[in-house]
Amino acid sequence: MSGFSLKKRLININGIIIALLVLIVIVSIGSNKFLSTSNIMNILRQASTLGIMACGATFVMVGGNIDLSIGSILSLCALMSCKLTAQNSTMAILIPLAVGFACGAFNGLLVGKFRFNPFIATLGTLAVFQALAFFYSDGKFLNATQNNFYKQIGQGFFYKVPIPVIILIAVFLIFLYLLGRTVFGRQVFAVGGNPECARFSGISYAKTTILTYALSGLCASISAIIFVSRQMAAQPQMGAGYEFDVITAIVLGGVALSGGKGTIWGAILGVLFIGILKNAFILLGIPLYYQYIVMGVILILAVGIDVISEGKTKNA
Amino acid sequence: MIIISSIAIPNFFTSLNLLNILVETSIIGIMAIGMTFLLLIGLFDMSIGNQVSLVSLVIALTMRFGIIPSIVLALITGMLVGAINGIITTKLKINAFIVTFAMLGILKGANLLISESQTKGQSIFIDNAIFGNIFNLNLFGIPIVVVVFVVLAVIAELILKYTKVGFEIYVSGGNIETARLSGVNTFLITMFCFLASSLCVAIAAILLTSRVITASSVLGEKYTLLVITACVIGGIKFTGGYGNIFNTFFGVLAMQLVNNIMYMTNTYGYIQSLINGMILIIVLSIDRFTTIRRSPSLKLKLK
Repeated sequence: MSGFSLKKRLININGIIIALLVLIVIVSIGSNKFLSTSNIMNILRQASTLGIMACGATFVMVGGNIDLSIGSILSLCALMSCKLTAQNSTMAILIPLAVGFACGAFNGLLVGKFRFNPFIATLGTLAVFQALAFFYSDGKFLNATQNNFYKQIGQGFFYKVPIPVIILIAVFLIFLYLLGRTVFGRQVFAVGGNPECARFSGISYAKTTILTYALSGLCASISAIIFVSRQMAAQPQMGAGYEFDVITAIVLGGVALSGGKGTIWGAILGVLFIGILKNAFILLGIPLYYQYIVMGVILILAVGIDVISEGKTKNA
Repeated sequence: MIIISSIAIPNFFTSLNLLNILVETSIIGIMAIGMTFLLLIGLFDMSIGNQVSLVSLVIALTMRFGIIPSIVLALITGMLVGAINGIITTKLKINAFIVTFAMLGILKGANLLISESQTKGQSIFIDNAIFGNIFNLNLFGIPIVVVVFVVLAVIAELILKYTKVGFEIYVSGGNIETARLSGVNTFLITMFCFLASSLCVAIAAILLTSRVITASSVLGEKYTLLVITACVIGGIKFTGGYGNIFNTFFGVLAMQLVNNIMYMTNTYGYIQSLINGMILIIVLSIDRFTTIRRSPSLKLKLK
């Protein structure tokens, strides 16, 4: 059920590995700019924010829930971080992180403690957080105060590797460990896979859920800071629609909507797929509206394949 | 609340204002009727906002064929979307939330595509005086929107209470699996509910488009949240099984009163979203706490 052995994990994600390889081949043929170092670095830098949010979202989904409000949390935290650069870097980093965690925890409270339907609840908080974001910035664009340290987060390099990628790798490793090797991780799988059993085993649904959502919110805020640092500006709808990309990415990577199944590895591969796909859209000059359509279709296909393969293993 | 607001806001009690509230409530109400069907079987459709936009765009595009054809085409388009949602949900057995979530994205793209190809993304003005007047029709002074709402609500109640399909929907009680095991044809009722929902959305969209005489790719965006909130206020539980459409109407009415107060006092638009979102959460909370008190066994079953 939880896929801890290497073999099980590979089976879970070999679909996305194949898809990823196929995609890389297709895009390389389609555009000779694709495999250049600068482009790859670009893809990684863009994908890092998506990847960080995907790590958090994976926890929520493995726990059997979903978080639709991560886009709004990103917007809110981004605006806060931007405004706080006027104070000092530390506040511009720590406070949004705390806010992201708190927003997530609030979601967790609604879904975990009050047992609302996660779609409905996070749809509501999506609106609430987004409105708070508007409220905070009075609807305006915000410009960050120039700050060398802060700037480095989004724009800097560490031995030729973009710092956002370093942050992604760090988050990835931490979350990989959390989900795969800690008791907490196991509890999340249990709660997502079979809530009744988990309850009988003494696992608190409320606590687990609150924590997963809080982590998801925290990830959104980390991404928010990177975003702001990259552009040195923020606007109230920065994160709008991001949840769509994140959810598509992790579902592609084998994280099951119903919970109890999925790996951080899979999520990251899904993110890479989406990242390369988006890069391909730009390189090939495909208009925005087609992107939306393709993403929607991919989401359905990804879930469909997931459902079909699940059906096969059940019958086997 | 009504008393306070009528004192505080000079224009509140003008019949024009109350009429506006009633009209907006009815539009949401019509969509909510359709959504109710889906909620009663434990599903919902997240793409209705974009369906509204799509319908408006279809009307704008096909207006040159005449009013009746364009309305018919719009209705067919709406039902087509509902059918696709339904088929993917039932045949591919994909969670309805994800299907409609994906459809949301697909429609968003499609709407943008249509909008870009016509007017480079601007709203399309519908140059048909008769169509614009549909919205202004009256039945003994009651706006047509309200009439349509009442008629649809009555039809919906009749379907739910007196037809086989309606009975099966109630029996499903939010859990398709038990219904299937009881011999209910889940494929048919799921398709029916999706079609009903999209049809209602399309009707509402046509009326809405007639009101503003423009079509745009973002016309319906705010409606998804509003309709879901409306249904929740109306007491339709996600455990399914019970729902009252007139409750929904009064709930939406109250909500619109609040919105209207905000509008009249010139509160910024985004605070409306904040309040709407919070209303949803507050209503859900009230609903949850009263339900648990009534039946403690429900606490375990929740979700």
